[in-house]
Amino acid sequence: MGSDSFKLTDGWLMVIDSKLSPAIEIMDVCKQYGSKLAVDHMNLSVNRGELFAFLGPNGAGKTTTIKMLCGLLFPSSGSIKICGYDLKTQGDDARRLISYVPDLPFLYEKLTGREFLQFIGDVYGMKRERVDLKIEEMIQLFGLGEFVDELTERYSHGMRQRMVFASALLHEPEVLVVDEPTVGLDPKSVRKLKDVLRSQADLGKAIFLSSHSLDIVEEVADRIGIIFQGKLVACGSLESLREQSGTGGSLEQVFLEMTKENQEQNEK
Amino acid sequence: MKNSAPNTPLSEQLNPAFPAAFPASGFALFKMKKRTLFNQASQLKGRLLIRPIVLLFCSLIIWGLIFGTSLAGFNFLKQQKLPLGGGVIGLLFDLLFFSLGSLLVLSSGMIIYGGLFSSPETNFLLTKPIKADRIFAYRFVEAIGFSSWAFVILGSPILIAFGVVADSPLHFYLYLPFFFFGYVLIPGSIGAVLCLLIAGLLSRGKKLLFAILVMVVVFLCLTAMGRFFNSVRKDGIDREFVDATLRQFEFSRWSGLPSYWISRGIRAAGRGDLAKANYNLLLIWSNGMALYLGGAFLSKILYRRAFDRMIAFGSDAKKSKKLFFVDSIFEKALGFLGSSKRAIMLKDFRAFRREPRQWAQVLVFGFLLFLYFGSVRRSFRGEVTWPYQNGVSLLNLFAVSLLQCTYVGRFVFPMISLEGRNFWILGLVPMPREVILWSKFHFAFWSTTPIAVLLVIFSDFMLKMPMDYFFVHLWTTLIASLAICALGVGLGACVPNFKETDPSKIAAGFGGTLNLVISLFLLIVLIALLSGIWHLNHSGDQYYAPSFNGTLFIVAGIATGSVIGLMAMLIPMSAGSHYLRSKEF
Repeated sequence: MGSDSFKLTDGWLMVIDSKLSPAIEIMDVCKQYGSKLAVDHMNLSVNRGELFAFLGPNGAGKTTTIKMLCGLLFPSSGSIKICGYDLKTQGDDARRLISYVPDLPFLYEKLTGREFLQFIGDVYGMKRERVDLKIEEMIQLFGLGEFVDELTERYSHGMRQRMVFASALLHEPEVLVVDEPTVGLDPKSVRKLKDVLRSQADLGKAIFLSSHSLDIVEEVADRIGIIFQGKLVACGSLESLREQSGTGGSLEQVFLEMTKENQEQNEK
Repeated sequence: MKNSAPNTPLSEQLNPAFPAAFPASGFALFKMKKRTLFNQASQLKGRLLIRPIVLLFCSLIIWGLIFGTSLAGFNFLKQQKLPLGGGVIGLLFDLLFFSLGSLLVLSSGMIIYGGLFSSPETNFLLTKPIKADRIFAYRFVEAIGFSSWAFVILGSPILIAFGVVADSPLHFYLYLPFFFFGYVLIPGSIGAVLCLLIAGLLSRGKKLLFAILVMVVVFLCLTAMGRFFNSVRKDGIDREFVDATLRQFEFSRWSGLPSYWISRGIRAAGRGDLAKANYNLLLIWSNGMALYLGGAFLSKILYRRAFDRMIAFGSDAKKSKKLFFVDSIFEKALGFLGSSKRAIMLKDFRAFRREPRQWAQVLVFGFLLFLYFGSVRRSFRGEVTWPYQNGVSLLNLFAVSLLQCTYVGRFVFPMISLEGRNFWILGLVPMPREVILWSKFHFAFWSTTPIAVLLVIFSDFMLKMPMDYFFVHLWTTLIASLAICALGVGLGACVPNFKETDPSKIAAGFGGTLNLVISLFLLIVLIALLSGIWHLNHSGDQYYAPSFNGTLFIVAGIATGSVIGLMAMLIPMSAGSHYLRSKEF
């Protein structure tokens, strides 16, 4: 399974292949910063319709992994595929299928929310009628109606975050990469966000969620991966992580146990 | 299932929102830029137009001054029966465009570097399916627009003055914008290509490379200056001097240089020789566009890789836990200040020294000034007279203060703005907020005044000025330093720009321009009162003690200048303190 499959002229085979391939494939990826190995031989795949949560202490390599998933950074070795497209060699095609919501949302200060969404539609080459339709849908979904026609420079953090989510979902991406989405959001917005993420996964999208909010992860994630010192030290459902860690408690206990255990191993 | 579209990209098959063609994302970027500019213009409606009016007014003053000076200069040449289409004017134009072009290479290269590699917008765009060459094109246009306005403001008054004096036909003026905009493509593209190559291929050693580049530029400048001063070390200005001078700049007349094409083209348009003007215009545009395409092609191959390298190697160097020896010296030298002021100053000093792009410029200009002061006496050896000594020493004093004024405007003025969103850290420290302001003032004063004082002493020493000149000049430098530093810090607090993170953009914005204009005006007033009257009273054929009335004028001038200087220090600092105290973060 790979990008070669899509070069076949038989459209039927091509579509079947793509539907079977994981949405995200991280294959033996390493990322080196000078002498520091930020990501160490990572192997991971996330399927369509799956909400995958990515946990790890600060400096473990989460952000580096996310930046590689979005095509901002390239792996020093190994490869990453998005729906079969290699991010290094077919980056533009792969990026058409991804949306990235960073922890610090970027908006053009001198555009209104609606203009920003129209710009996103233009960037993804969407037809105008389709963009207008989707904008109205996003306004309803995220409750943007009151401020969508104001310049974004006047938005609060919560409004910005909602606008960024709306822009991320506008073009109906196959893969949604989300980094710390709940920082600075009120409980109602957090609830809304959890529902949106879950519903996107149920629609068949792959969600890659990085967060320190373990309660949210525990509630919404199908599968959880824990990265520690650049290595994916555990991956699976909450139940399987409990088994791996030997603790029957909360995700917090599992997380602390897994990272402690590995720290001790590294120290030895 | 979807058999009808075997070659359709997967993204489109999975997602019906996409059209068949690859998104015209490059066009989307320019459309967005147009919209943001339109929104910015709309915001001006119903608001005070002080900002654009001040900017326009300052630009017009600079334009008018250059136009007036050029008009006088060309008229002088005409009176001397020098042909306006001849060698001397040709050389002047060659040199003008060569130097402006060289500056454009540097400025557009640096702006493109910032735009391509260290802007949050770039991070955002790179996660979108936008081709690398389209992001490059977007950043290129932005950089060219940002860096070439100075070219237009400096170049257009000179050329229009030339057209007026040379009685050029109307089409000469119509040609000018086409020559200008075609020409800026060439240095802009060269700057962009250099930026991509440096970032893409040499990231690991970029600081070292930058230092080497600066040293090469300084060396070339020194060599050129040395050659120039050697050539003018003659008795009087005669034919031999003119020929020798022309020979020094022969390199700018090489027919392969774009500056030569624009110089020839514009002069041809001025004479009405349209065939030659068109030929050179086409030469400029075709080369400019070819170079731009080269840059775009390179960006396609290198840009994303370069971005990856910049992040991967950018933060490799670990800082030592121990106090760096320069920081230690800095901290000990400021032992007389309170610990909180010292801590803030040390923070600013560290940020400054870790940014070679900042201090390298100051170092180069300071060193060039030092070199000039060392050579100025030798240049006129054998015939230097007292009026020359008197006049040149005043000009040197002005040059030193001007350098200090530029430094404060470029580096000190943005300091409060750069605290930006992190201001709450300093804001929560248990000390009055004016301490923050005074620490910035001390930083500005103590990092510039000793250098200014040394340069002034060196200049007077080389010119063998009498001792009383030393005291007058030092007092002037001291008062001017206090006023300029306080103005930069105080105004920086009164009109901060907390949203901008690029100090050059803060300095080039409304507040920065206002600061520069007021500083220049203040500098002229202070130097005129504190030293100008003194120099006027000594402007005879030789040095002699001033008369009683002259002494009265001098004392009155120094006293008035000192009072104005101290007021110019206290008023902005007080206003800045008031602003900071009342500011909510």
